[in-house]
Amino acid sequence: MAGIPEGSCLVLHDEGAMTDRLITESRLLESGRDGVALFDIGGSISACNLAFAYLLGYEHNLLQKRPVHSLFRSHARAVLRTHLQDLVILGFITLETEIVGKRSEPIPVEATIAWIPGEQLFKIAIRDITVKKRLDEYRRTYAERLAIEVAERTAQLTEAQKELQRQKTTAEGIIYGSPIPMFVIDKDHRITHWNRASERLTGFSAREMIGTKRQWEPFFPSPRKVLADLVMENTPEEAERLYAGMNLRKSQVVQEALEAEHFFPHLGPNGTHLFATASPIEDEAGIIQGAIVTYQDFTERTALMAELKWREAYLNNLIQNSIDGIIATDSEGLIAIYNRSAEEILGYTPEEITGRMRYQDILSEETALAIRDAFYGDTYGPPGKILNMITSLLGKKREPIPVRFTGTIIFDGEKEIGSVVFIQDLRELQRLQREKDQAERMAAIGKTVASVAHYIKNVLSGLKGGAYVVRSAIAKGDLDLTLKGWEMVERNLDQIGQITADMLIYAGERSPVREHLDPIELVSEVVELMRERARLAGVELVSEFREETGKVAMDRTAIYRSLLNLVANAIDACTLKGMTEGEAKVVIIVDRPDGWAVRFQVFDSGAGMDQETQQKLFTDFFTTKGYAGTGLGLPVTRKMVEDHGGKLLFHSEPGRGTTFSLLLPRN
Amino acid sequence: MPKKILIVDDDPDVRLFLSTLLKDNGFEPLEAANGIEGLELAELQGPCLILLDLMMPRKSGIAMLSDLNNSERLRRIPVIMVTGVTGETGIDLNAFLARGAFVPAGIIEKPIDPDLLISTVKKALEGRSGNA
Repeated sequence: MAGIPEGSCLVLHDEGAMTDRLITESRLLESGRDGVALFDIGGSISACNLAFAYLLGYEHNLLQKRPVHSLFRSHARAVLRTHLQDLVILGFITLETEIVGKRSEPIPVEATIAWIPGEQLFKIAIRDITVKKRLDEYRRTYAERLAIEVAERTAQLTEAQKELQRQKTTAEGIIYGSPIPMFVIDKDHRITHWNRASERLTGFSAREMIGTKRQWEPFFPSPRKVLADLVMENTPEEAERLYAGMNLRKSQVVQEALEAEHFFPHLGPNGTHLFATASPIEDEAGIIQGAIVTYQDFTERTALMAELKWREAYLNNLIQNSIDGIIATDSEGLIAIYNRSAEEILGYTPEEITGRMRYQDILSEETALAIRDAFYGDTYGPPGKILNMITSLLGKKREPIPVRFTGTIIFDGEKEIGSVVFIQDLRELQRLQREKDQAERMAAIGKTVASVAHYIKNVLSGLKGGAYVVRSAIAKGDLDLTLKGWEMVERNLDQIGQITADMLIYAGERSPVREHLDPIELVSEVVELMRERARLAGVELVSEFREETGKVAMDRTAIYRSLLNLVANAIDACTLKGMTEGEAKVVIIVDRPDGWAVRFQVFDSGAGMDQETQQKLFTDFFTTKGYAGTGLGLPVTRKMVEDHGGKLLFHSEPGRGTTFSLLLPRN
Repeated sequence: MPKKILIVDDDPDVRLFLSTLLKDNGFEPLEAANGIEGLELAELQGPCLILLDLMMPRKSGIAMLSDLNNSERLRRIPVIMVTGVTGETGIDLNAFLARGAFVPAGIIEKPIDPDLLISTVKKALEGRSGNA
C-alpha cells in the first residue's frame, strides 16, 4: 500500500467546531497509516483521514456525508446499517471484513469500530490485510499440500515395501523352485536359501540347512570352507589349497565368480560330477553381503566327453597307426590330418604340413590335374571317389614318389567340406616287383636251359637211333635201310632247326613281314599238310569257311606256322583222349567278327584242359606231350599273333574239348 | 626160329630204331603204331614179348595193357614199358603200377640205350622161360 506523502496533512473538518482534544486526535490520525473515519449515530461519515480515502480510492471530500455501511460488504454492512445502537452499548468491536473500493473491488480489511461517548461519534479504523490474508491463505494451503504430499509419499513407500516383499517372495520362489541346485549364504556365512534342487541333489532339506553354516556337509567329510565361503574372502592361496585337483578357476562368465568341478562318488546312485559356480553378492556400495552357489550336474556330460575323447583317441590311433598314408583336408583345402605313414612316404613333418600346405604342394601340376579329373570323373570309381589310382606324389625333396591313391571327397549335403585320401607307397612294392621279375627271369632262363637241354637230349636220342640204323644198314649192305636211317637223322636235324627258329621268334629277333593273303588258301594248305598226320592219329580234320574275308595283311610264315601249331595241338589233344576211345574231330573255322579282319578258330573234341594246365598254357617250355612237344609252340604262336596286333584266345572244358581263336586286326 | 617181339609206338623213328636193334640181336620185330594195331598183331602173331609205348593216339599203352590183362591168352606175354620222359606224359605211371593189377617185365626210359634195352629184353625172356 502506498504511503501518504509526509507533510500533506489535509484537514476535513472545520477546526473551529471541534474540541481541542478532538483536533489533536484528528491531527494525529491524519498522519497514521491506518485509515480512520468518524461517523455519527446515523452512520453518516463526518470526517476521515487521507489513508482512509486512499484505501478506498476516493477523493477524501467525496466520502463526507456518505453512509458508512455503503462502504462495507457482508455482515459488516448489515451491522453498520442496522445495529449502530448495539455498538454504542458494546463500545468496541473489531472485525475482519471487506470494504468496497471505488472500482467495486473488495479489499480485505481489519476494522475496529469504537464509540466515542464524549463526541457522540463512532470512530472506525481500517487496516488493509490483503497481504496478511494471502499469507494466511498460503499458510493454510501449504499445510494442506504438505499433508497430501506426506500421505502420498507414505502410500508410495508402503507400496514399494509391498513390492519389495513381493519381489523377495518371488525371488525366493524362483530360487527355491529352480531346477538348478543353488544355495545362498549371508555375510556371516549362514545359509539363507537352500532350494529344492539342492535338496534333491544332496539329500539335505532346506529346513535343516537354512540358518546354519553346514554348507560343507553334503559334499565333504569334515567342516571346511566351500566355494561360497571362499568367494567372499580374498584368499586365493587357501582356495587353491582347498580346491586342489578340482579344476578351480575364475569364471569367464560371471565377474568375481569362482568355478570348480569335482566328482562326488557319494552323491546319486553312481556318483555325480558337479560343476559349481560361486558368485559374491554385493550391495550398492560394493560391499559383499553374501554369496550364491549354483551347481551343474556334469555326470552325463563328463561321461559323454570321456566317451568322445576315447573315440577321438581311438580314431586318431587308427589313423596314426594305419599302414596306409592318410591325408585329409578341411573345407579350406588345407591339410588337416597327416599320419605317420604319410610322413614316412612324403618326408614332411606334421608341423610343416598340417594347416599350412595343400594338395597342390605335394603334387606336380600335371598330377594335380589328373587327380582333379579323376575325382570328378568316373574313371576310378563314381564321381567324388578315386579307387586305386596309380600316380605319384612329390616328396619333401620334390622327388616323385609312386603311390596307389584312393580318395573320397567329403560332403555335407551338397557342400564339399573336405576330402580324405589313402596312399600306399609303391617304391617298396615296385622294388619287390623288380626283384620278383628278376628272379622269375632267372628261373625262366634256368628252366629254358633245362628244357632246351632236355629237348636236345631227345633230338640226340633220335640222331643216335638214326645213326645206329645207318651203321647197321651199311654193315648189312642194306641200302633201303640206310636211306631210312638217314631220313631219321635228317628229321632230327630238322627238329633242331625248328626249335632254333622258335626260340629266335620267341626271343623277338624276327618281326612280321606282311603281305596280302587269302585266309582260305592258307587254311587249305594247312589242312593239306596235316591231313595224313590226322588220319594216322585217327582224327577227322575238316575246315569251314563261314564268311568271305577278302585278303588280309599278314606274315605268311608266322601265321602259317601258328595255324600248324594250333592244328597239331588239337590233334594231339584228341590222341590224349584216345586213351578212352572216342569220336576225335578237329575243325578249322574261318569267319570275320566285328572289328577284326579275320578269325581262325581251331576246335578239337579232345581231352580239354584242367585249370592248372590252362594257367600254364603260355608258360615257356610247358608241355604235356612226350617226344613231340618243345613247350614253345603256344608261347611262340601267341608272340607271332601279338606281333601282328592280333589276339590269341582259348576256351576249354576238360573232357569236352578246346577252341583256340586267332584274331587278326584290320590294316 | 627167331623170337617175335612186338613194338607198339606211334613214333615211326622209334619203331625203325627198335626193329633194327632187335633184328641185329637175332629177334624178329613186329611193328604197331597204336594200341588197336598192337592188340590185333598180338592176337595174330603171339609174340614172346611186347615193347609198349604209353603215349599213343587211338589206344594208349595203358588202355592196351588193361585189354591184354583181360585176355586169358595174352595175359602171359611179358611187357616192357618204354616211357617218354618221366613226369611229362601226364600219366602217373607209378600210381597205375601201384594198383598192382599189372607187373611189367621191365621199364625202359627214352632216350633208349641200345645195350640196356637188349639186356632188359633178354632178362625178361629168360624170366619167362624160367617160369614156364
